[in-house]
Amino acid sequence: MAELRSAANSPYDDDVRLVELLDRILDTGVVIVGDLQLSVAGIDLVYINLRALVTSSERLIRDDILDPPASTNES
Amino acid sequence: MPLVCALTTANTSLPAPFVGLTVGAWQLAMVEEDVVGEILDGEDIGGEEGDGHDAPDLETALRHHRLVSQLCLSVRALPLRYSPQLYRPSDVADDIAGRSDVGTVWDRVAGRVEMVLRLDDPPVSRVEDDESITSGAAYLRRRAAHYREQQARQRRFETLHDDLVNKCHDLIRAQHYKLRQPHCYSGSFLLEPSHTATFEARLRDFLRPLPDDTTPSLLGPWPPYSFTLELPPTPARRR
Repeated sequence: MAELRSAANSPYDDDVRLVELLDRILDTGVVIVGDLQLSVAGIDLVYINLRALVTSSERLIRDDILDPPASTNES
Repeated sequence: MPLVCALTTANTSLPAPFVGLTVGAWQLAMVEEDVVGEILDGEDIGGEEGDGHDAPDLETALRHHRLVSQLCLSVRALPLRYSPQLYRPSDVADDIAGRSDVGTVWDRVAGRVEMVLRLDDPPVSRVEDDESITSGAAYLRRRAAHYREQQARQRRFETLHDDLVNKCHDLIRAQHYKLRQPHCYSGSFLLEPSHTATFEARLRDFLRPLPDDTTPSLLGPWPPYSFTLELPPTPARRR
């Protein structure tokens, strides 16, 4: 029998809670922030500051931010 | 730039630190960005200098959520999402002033809470990981079986959702669900705050026959973001 968990403190529940909550707050949009540094022999070659907004293509198309894919039936 | 947190009726007295912007019969409840960090944990809210339309980060979104929760506990309010496009108060005010469905959404959603039921099944094993496949024909058969299994899970979740809505129809004011993956169901339920304990008790009874390898989690209550007003994208973000 599966046991309903509603207020547990396990990391799993915290993760689920956060993901679901963010999904509701942002309507399927999540931002990834981070730094990427590529080095060879102690010399920094590439440094990338990552600040990306991740959202669904469906949402972007709906909001008129992204054009829908071109139809393949066009003549 | 103030953060727009929620909508209230125009005559609602807002608790500190919220400030109001009246738009006809409505009021935007907002918090100045520079005080958000002080109020919540003393940290700088972050973000870059610019036109105020930088992409939001997760931390700010969660702070926004805590403010919205605080307000919704104090007064009857309709939460507004923390948009990926970051709204200016004037953007929201213009939109609210020009639409006719605000009253309808207000009557249905304001003052209520959202709870989420999440059900996780073990994922179907990936076809690519099956080392027993030794031929193209066996691979295609395995792919077909994989697809049928996924379809069966989706139908099971759809049926389960319908049954749950029937069982709790007197508590649920609105609902929707989605399948994040074929093995993960996420249902949202709009409830009266006073009904959350009853809803949870009925869920426990309803979920009793579920198999052991299904993990149910009940999340919330939190402000009813899934049922609130949909605002258009800000003009600055349009292409």
